[in-house]
Parts: sequence; structure tokens; C-alpha cells
Amino acid sequence: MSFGPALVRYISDNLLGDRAAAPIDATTPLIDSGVIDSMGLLQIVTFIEERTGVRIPDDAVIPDNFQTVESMERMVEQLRS
Amino acid sequence: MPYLLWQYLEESARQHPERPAVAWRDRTLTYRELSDESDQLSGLLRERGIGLDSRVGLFFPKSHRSVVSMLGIGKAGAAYVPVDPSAPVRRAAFILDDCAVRALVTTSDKLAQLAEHGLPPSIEVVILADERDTPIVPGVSARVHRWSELASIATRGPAPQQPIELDPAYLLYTSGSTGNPKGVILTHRNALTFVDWGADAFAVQAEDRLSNHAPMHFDLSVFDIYVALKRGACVDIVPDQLAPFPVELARWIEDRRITVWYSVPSALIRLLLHGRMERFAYASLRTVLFAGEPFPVKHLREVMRFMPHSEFFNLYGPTETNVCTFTGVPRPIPEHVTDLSIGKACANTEVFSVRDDGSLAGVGEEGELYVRGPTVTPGYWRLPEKSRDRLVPSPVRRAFDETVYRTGDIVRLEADGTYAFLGRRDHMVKSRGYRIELGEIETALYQHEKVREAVVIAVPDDEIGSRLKAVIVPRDESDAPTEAELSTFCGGRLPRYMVPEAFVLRADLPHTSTGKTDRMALARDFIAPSEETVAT
Repeated sequence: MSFGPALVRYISDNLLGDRAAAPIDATTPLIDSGVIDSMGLLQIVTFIEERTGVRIPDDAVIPDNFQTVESMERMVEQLRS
Repeated sequence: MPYLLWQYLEESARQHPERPAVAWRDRTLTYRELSDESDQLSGLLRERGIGLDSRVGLFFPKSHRSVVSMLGIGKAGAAYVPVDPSAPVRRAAFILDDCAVRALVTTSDKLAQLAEHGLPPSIEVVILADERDTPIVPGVSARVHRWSELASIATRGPAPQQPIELDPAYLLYTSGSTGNPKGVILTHRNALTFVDWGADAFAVQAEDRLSNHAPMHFDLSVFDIYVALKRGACVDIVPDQLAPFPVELARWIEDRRITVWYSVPSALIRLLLHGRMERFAYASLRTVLFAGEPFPVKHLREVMRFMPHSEFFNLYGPTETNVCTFTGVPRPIPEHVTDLSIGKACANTEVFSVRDDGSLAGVGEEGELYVRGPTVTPGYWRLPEKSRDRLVPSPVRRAFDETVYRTGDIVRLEADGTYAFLGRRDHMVKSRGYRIELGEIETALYQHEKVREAVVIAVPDDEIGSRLKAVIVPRDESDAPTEAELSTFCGGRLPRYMVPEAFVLRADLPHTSTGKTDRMALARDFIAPSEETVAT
């Protein structure tokens, strides 16, 4: 099952700060909007690893893979295959 | 001789106008361009009557325009106030209101957030630093200018009326124990003394390329920008979009041929643990400086192994004093060394430690570190009591009518004249190099309607310094707040680095025999058996 909806909820609860009222979805840009900073990235990587059991190698932690929740889902699919 | 910060730029611009001064992503400004753009910004501010005794806020993600803005504001005769662009808007608004900024450089989305919250009434002028012109937010009471308008400003250049070196150059806000951030005033003289020392101590030359990794509201950036400008070198700003990604950051240092790197240790530790550092030789990197928190020696040894061409230096100093001590790191670090020294005083700075009885601490004795010299702040913005508490008559040199800064840091003087850092007197901790007053987080938590009691514990951590955990006693156990609720609540009031990682609910708090909350007992619940100390 996709971890996307749970990750969207996790980001809304923990990483949006006072922007929490503005809803995000799987296609919301997260890097340019400043949601993903060093702390946010670490929390998201840990969340995905715990949720999916897939280990994300350091080389996969690049901006292309973390632009949106959708791109993170694609990354995990590729890592699984 | 420069006695105001922007004069470094003008001297270098006269000597080599076409050399690169500031780089950010694919943009580079030469010294001539930086001088011209900052002249234009200064002109706009002057036309709006903003100069001496005014403050101008900076509230936007960092870019080359951050540097243009700092210099333009300086040339207008005003002081700048950089605000964390990722801070919750209510915190940003508090800071801008607290020091009554008259103008603000920001982006259109930040302005929209501020306008929704309520723009501080002191703001008369807003300048939008967006890369591209965007529609101006309606309903803003201040006069709003786009960056593109700067080119058509009739008045240009530094204001005829300039401050003296004892006037504020900028204000930096740090965490405050009473619940709100406090503004540290730094004068031109404070900064120039530090910058002159830094340029000499690390032999920075025009050929150097200095990284700027720290945010602009963090005092490490003062070194990056002004040491580069003083020496006609280039400061290369790490883009916010790249900084979180260790593999990309490692490549960036190599590709941009950085020669002088300065950051908090936790940034280098992330590179070590996740950046695949072994891929690059870092042949250009000659100097690595770090400050803000202790660097665990086991990690530092490894970082030094991957950066074999670099000399490493540990710098120490609170925002209030700039860097006041430093030491070179021996290569290799001897086996017996488990903690790095903070070294000896920088040139033109005196440090000494004082025992609890007020006498000077001798070799091997513990004491509180005091700092004296021209880098020391004149005080906090409109907090006279706080200023009197930290800036005190010298306890050991009573003949002079002057004040010295009491750091609150406990140190031990070693036989070789260096100091060992032992800890804090109060509840201030460091996480990712940031100063955090636990009381500020607790004050925020007490504002939650479902919280009866709140205590925040800092658990030592090898990677980021401290991890924050909150212990909460709910008002009503049947209607206790959830972890997500508390995290979101804190996120709306505090910068992300101050939001606790975990919230633990308890029916009550343990107390010591004197009736105080027993923080040590709480800390033991979080701490692994191998960890010995906890800041509480």
C-alpha cells in the first residue's frame, strides 16, 4: 500500500509550522517552499524507511527524489524493484 | 581605514571592480555590480527617509540579494535585522515589531503571510527581493517596491550622514529564556574588530572562495561575507534548496572550489555520515572552520581524514562577543584527546574565568568565562535589565570603569593557557549550533490550553549536539493533547530547530527536595546508559 497519504499527513502535522492550515497534497513542491530543510529531510527519510522497510541509500537522497511526496513514492518503487 | 562595514566593499570595489564578490547558484555579482546595486538600494531607502537610527528587516530565503541588502542598508546609515525566513510568521512579526523596523526587504509570499498576520505598524516601506517581479499583495499599508525599480532610483550611493563605529550595524535575535527572542546589538566596531582578526588569522586572500553555509540570521555568516569583502575574495552562498542534501553538498564544495569552509559541526557530521565524502579530494579546500557547538572528536577525526589538504580550526564565542577564542586542531588528533579545547583569546580580545567566589580562576580550576574587548556587544535591544545582568563591571579589574560580558559558560583553564569548555550555568543548550533557551519552548507549551505543566529536556547527541524532548502534564487526562497536536502547536510559534522531537505525557512531574522540578530524574528516562551528562 502507498505510504503517500500517511506521509502527507505526517508532513502536515510536523513540518508545516504555521503553514499547517494550508493543505498540501502529493504534488505540492516541498523543497522550493522551504518545507524540506535539513531537519525536515531527515524526518521524512526516517518516516519512509520505517513505513516501507525500504532503506534509502545516501545516493538516493537528492533533490529530484524529494521534490514532492509523489516523487518520493516513485523513488521507493524504483528502490523496491 | 574602514570603520563601517560597507566600506570594506567600496575599498575592494575600487581595487578590483571586476572580480567576483558574491555567487549564488548560477548568479555572480562582481564587486562593481555589488557596489552599484547596494548604492541603488541605499538610494531608495534614503528617498523614503530611512537612514541613521533606523532599522531595516531582512525576511527572505538567502540569495545574492541578501548581501546587496545588508550593504545597501548600511550605506543608507541604517542597521539591518536578519530574520530566520523559515520562522513562524508570528515570531518574525514579533522581531520586526520589537525593534520597530521602518523598512523590510522580503519576498511576496512572505509579505502575504505577514500581511495576513498583521504587518508591524512601524513598517513604512517594503522592497520585494523575488527573483522575478510578482503581483504586489493588495491591502498592505506600507509602500511596496519591486527590486526592478531600484535601477530607476534617482538618488544613489551612501548617505552623506553616516553613523560612527559605535552605532549598531545589525541586530541578531537569539532564543530568550522568558519566552520571546531577544535582540543582540552589534556595532560596526564589534564586527570590524572580528572581521579584521578573521581575515588575518586565516590569511584570507583575494583568490579565496569562502562558503556561506550558515543562515544570515546566524552570526557565522558575518565572517563569510565580510571577511570575503575585506579581502576582495568571493563568498559563495550555499543554496537553501541544496543544503539539506549531503551528497549534493559534498559535490558542491568540490565543484565550486571552495577554499575556506565555515559551519557548525553538525553540518560536517551530516556530510561525513551521509555525503559520500570519499568521492572527492577537496584539493582546493585549505581551511575548515567550525563553531557553535562541541565537535565530537571521533567524528572530527574522520572528517579530517576525508579532507587531507585542509587545516581545521575550532572557533568559540557567543553572538554577544563574536568569536573570542580559537584553536587549531592538530593533525592527527592525538589518541588521548577526547574533547577539543576552545583555545586561547583572539587578538584584541581578553578572556578570563572567574570562580564562584568572584576571584580569578587559576590553572586547573573551573570558572565562568568572561570576555572583554571591542568585539563585545553594547547590550540587548530594549532589555536594560538583561543587559545589566550579562554586561557587568569586571570582577577582577575594578580600576577600570568598563563592563565585561559574562558568558554563562563554565570552563577550566589548562596549563598551556587554553580553556576547556565544560558546560552551561543555566538552561541554555545547543542544537545544530543554535542557542536554545529551554524556557522559551516551555513558555510556548504553557500557552496550549490542554497543558498544565511542561518541561523540556535536552538529551546529548553526537550528531546534532542535543535532542529536545518535552514532558507534558495535561490539564485533563481524559482530554490530553496528542503528540501531533503539540508538535503543530509548537511549529506555529517556534523555529523548527526548537520544536521538541518527542512529547511524553505524564500524570505529574517529579520534584526535588527543594520543591523544584527534578529535571535530572526526567532526563534519566530519555538517556541511554552510555551517555553521562544532560543539559537541563
